[in-house]
Amino acid sequence: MSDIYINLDASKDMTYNAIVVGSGISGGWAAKELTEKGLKVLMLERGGDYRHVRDYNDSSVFEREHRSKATIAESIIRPDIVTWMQKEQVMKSWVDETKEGKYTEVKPFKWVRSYRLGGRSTLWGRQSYRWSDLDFEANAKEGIAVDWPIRYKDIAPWYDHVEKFVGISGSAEGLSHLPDGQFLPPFELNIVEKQAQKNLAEKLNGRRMFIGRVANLTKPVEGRLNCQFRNRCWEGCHFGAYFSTQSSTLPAAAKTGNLSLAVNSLVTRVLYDKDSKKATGVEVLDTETNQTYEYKSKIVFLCASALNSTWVLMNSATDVWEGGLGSSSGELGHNVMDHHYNLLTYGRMEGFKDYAEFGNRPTGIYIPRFANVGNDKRTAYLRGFGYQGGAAKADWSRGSNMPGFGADFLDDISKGGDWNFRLMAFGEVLPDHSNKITLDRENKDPWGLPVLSMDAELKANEMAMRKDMMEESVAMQEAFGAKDIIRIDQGHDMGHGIHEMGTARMGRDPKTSVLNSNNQVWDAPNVFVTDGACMTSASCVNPSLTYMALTARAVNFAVESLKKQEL
Amino acid sequence: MDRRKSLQYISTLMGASFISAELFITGCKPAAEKTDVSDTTENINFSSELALLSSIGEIILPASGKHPGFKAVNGGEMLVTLLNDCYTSEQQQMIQKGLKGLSDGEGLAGEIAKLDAAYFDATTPADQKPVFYGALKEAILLSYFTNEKVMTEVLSYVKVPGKHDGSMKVDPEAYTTVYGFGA
Repeated sequence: MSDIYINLDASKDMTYNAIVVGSGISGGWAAKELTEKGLKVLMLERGGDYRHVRDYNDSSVFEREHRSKATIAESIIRPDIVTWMQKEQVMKSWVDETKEGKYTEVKPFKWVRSYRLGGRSTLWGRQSYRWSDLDFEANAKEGIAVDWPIRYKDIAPWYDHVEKFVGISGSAEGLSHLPDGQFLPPFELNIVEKQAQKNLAEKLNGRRMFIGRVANLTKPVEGRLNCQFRNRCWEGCHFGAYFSTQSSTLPAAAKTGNLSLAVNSLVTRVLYDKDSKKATGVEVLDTETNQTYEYKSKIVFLCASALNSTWVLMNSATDVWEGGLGSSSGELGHNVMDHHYNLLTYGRMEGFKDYAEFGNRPTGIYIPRFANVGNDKRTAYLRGFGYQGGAAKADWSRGSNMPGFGADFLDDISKGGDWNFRLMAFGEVLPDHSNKITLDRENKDPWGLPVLSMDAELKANEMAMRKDMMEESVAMQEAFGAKDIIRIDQGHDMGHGIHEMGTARMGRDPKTSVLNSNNQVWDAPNVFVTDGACMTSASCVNPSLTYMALTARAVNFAVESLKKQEL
Repeated sequence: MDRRKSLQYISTLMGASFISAELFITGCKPAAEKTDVSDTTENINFSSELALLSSIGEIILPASGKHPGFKAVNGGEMLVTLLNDCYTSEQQQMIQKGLKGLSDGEGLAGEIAKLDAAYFDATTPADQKPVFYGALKEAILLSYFTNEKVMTEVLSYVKVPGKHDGSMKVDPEAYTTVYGFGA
């Protein structure tokens, strides 16, 4: 990737056809689609540069000062960064609160932010699943919140469109509630997972388990190699084997010659014109010089991540609406959702001592939702949950939890240990008006801007679901044939799923929703919000692929509308 | 959950030999707990304990015909770096206090045997477990098994596997590649 497309002095050119706020998964897609349709696009990223290959980490664990263990000094400035995120080699990827500001917690919240080019597209889990009408119809059928303004048929062609470009590996399973897509060949279950898959189907009435569908290539595509089984995606993939802005959408957008990109450019508000009732552009704060600029455009795509896109709206047009642009419905900032997790089981799988796994697969197993699907009816809660996990052979680190020391102990733990099966549940969070974010004008970030205040928690439906998530997890471990099953429920603060959704929901009525069926802000139709903020419900299925499809769909609508001079 | 409770929480999980390191490797901190930003106590420097720490490491992971020992791979220096930089001051104080009860000499192996037995004995009340020993043992294993010589010569580290085989036949007695680690 050359430097050509990075126009760090974008201030010379103040007028574009379209402005894209944010460079993560949604922003990358917006930029690619808009530039490929011939629009001159400015992409704005609040964080710094982070270049494909050049800025990736290639060290082996023994070359690292702390052998991959995060230091306390790095951790205390990033209190939200825990467990798998908390690794020496990725710590600097996450937001340093002393530099970027805290947020206010009315209720405990975890906001896992990465402010740099590519956003969290370089740090995501890459699990990629289609949503279905089980999700899109749920609110209407159950009388929860408001109805989605779209159905599966509206988004299906856009799933096709994005999957072909992203490269999703997976197996076709013929499930109507987890539709098949345009798949590359799947990764393979290991020998223990294959046995567990068979046992699960036999013992639990055909229950399904298959390899996780991921945005990691199993075959090379143009400009990207297939996965080399390092499983070091979070440090950046030199082979471009997983989908990120850097590996995929940014090169495609750059190739058109239509993209300008400015980093260290914090969008403070959308500029709104009262007479035309449209946005005219955005105001940008250069985080290095503290100077502000105004960029003009015909359309604006807000793709700053769910909560930050809503933050921008809340700061915009406050002279017209006190609560900001999109607040006329009273729903802006409301209905914060996530996937609740931190609920695990481990079980020991006997046998298989003479088998091991070579290579680090970048995905595990997936068990699709079965609760409240078809004839399965649960009385204690609405919606459902899915599981990720897999089987792995224990390595030397098991020695920390084993009695003993000395030469025989060392000899023993240097050999492969037992295989263990790990299941992690992901549950749906219902949209609830009382789960909200607001602007905290008392507390300011380092640039003097109001910070977000988080007031959201799991409610009765989620708590009832969690009990069942654990019971089902144990039942499935037993069905696998696992022994010594351990249950761990660490509770869930909202945000910790890093699937934050809602706060600017789509809907059918401007009185009860912020966005229409094409992701246009009802109050300013040339402003589109296509990241997690737009979601009307949360499903239990990983959301990123849906953001991509909704973004491509909205771009298509926006460009068609521009052609017809309707925007 | 406060840290004292979290240590108890972890200790109740101890003895479950098959739990992956992920729960423990973050320094006795369960996943859901945020890093305590109010902890501003001065960090302890464990350099002065290098000799004792190296001896404890060598007792737990001694040289043999099949392995270099903890001292031969300079495990003590690595351990000091980890203890200095990767543990909260509260955890450091706990470890330092534990080390004060030990002296480098002939009786050390016997002391380690007692600590190991007490730590893993399910009948030891949670508040009487030598938690410092569990933390130390974990850090000793990390220092040793992530050493370049151990990873590449004793185990079989491959930086870029290039392929995946989930059903690879192996000799259960053979030393294993450290897959899954390092990411």
